[in-house]
Amino acid sequence: MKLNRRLFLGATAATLAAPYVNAAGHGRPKVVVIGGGAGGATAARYIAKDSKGEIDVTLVEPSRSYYTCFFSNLYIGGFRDLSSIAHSYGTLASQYGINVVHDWAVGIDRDAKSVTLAGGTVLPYDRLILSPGIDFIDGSVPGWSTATQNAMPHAYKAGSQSELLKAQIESMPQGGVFAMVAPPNPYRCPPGPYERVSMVAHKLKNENPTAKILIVDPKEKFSKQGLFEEGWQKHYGGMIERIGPDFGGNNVSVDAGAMTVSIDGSVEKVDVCNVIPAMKAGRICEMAGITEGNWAPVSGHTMQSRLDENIHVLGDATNQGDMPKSGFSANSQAKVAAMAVRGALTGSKVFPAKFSNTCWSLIDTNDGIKVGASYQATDEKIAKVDGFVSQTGEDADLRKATYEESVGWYAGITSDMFG
Amino acid sequence: MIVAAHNMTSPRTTGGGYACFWGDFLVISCPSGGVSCIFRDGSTLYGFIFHRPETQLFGYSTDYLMEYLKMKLFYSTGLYALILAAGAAQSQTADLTTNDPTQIAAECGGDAGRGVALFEQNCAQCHDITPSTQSKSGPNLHGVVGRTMGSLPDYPYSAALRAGADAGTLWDQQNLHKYLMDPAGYLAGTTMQFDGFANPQDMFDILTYIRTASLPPAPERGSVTVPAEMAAIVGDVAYGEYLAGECMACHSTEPQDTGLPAIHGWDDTDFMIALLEYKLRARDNAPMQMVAQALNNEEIAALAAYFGALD
Repeated sequence: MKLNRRLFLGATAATLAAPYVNAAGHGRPKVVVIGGGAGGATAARYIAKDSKGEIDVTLVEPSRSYYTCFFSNLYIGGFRDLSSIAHSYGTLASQYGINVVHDWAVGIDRDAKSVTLAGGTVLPYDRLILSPGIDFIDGSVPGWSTATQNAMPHAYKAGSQSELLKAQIESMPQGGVFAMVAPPNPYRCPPGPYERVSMVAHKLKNENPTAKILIVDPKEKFSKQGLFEEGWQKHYGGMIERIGPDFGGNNVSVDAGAMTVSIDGSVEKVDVCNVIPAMKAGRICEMAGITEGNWAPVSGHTMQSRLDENIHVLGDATNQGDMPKSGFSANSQAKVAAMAVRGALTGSKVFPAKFSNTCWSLIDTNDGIKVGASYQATDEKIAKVDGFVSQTGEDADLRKATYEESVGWYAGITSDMFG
Repeated sequence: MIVAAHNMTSPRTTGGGYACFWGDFLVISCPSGGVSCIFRDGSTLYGFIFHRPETQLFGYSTDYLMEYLKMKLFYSTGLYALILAAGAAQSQTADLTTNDPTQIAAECGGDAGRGVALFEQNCAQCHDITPSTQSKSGPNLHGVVGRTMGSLPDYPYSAALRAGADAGTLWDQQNLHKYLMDPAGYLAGTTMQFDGFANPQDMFDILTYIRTASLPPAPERGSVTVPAEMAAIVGDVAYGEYLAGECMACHSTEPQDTGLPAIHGWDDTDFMIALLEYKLRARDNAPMQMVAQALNNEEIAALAAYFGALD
């Protein structure tokens, strides 16, 4: 039975409680999720789980194993092994009945409501969820491109790049220089580059204590700056130098062949160069025509794209308001989207959207810090309501407890994503 | 004089920047707390560029910026004066009713821990801050932020402060800032024997401490009980399941602690008490306090019902 939309709008509130199927003629309503990270995997799981099989969910994700960006810095620092941050999609397929397709989405036909995959399959959808993460902006760091990412890794999409960067650090000559070209705002994981610096410093302190770390940063300030700087001074005094925009941090180019970084014209030879370029929404959003500028604007109430009500966008790719681009945020937004999608497709109850985020960062062994906030949706954006942040000078027990919390969180969120 | 306000923002800053001319001085501030000052002496241009990104400054009006510059620019070799002046940006007004120590610290731009020591050094000889009306040579400061000037009934205030009291002037953050940086300058005739702080950060830290010390004390852990009207609520398990989405981001379904406590299968009452204790700050842990404060009684009961029913 196909319900006419005009008929639905005229219905009384009582009939809204009755499930109705807004499917193209027959069968279960279909949801396609593109991107199997913190946003997509969570959305797929919650829709499948909470609809109790009423909704047909397909998850399109190129990687067979998902390496979480969160905790990849801990892997680089030697606190985790690689397999501990790798997750498979087998449980989502077997326990939740999600059709996991390892392929790339290469086209979206919004009128026909279908997704075309690189392998040729065409997937029809009633609702589409895009959670593609980020892509890098070409030319944002002159001299760097995907062609040079083996010489100068970004390691800002976890997995091989994380392994590569770790191996490069291990091959540094004694007393060598690890340089990081940090990204401009907005970018995924605001404290990420600085946790990475902390983890690299931890590794170098043990393996290459005369080595130096140079951060070249187009930004004045960064997330949890006072806390990181206090920690760097305490644990890695003298190893880390940061060049901000006042001294050329926003006028940088690199030469991957020569392994040099040019800062305001002054050329520095380096041994490892971690370039983290400027970012934009994962390209499928642009291809779908739902971006404005670099990001996909959404309504916080449902995570629906402001440009197409049948498409929801999650996580890093969005322009939504106050929430940072983080895995925790994507997982939080996924649940709101899942609830909205189920409400639209099966008439299930929809509660007001609430969101939260906490970002934990590890500065050194048992020295963890965090920042977090709760949010609610307004018509204009997702707005911060309340927040907290670690303080400088906290005692060692609290910092250790903060780190242990993050370990617990990692177990929690990965079960929440992958089942 | 020309005042131009530019919003030189980066995401999630708390204020805009100012660029203003004061006579022959051009003062430019940015939300990071940095400031540049360019002035001409005859035909020579001088410039200062100073950045203190960790300084957070709130609640200053343009008038104060100008007043402050006049007072301090020629009398201070420290560039802290310019930093303080740079804080005269539009910014969120302080919520003096909040009970949240983190929010207080953010509004005051200071650190209560540093403030305790500074208070001991600079204020404690004359001012008590325990919750009583006992005053020493200076009036008791418990709860002073947001209070009307000269309001303690038993203290012999100076004429200057009594005038403020009659006018109904409040010790809001702006007025306290001005007073503490230059008591005699702000309130001529004050009998407080203090020359003002040289470093504005010290003043922010002390204010943070005074506000935090004025908060009602959190209950003891173990003393919190479930109020009768809340115990009577039959928790809505379906609502609890929805709310539990937020919990599952951190707490997994593991039966044992993972670094975070396991929350499945608790007795309903114990569960509600735990959340109430976070809400009232009887239990430490900033994320859990934030989570609990966003939950009303019905929601706590729903969560207790949902998690209690799981193995």
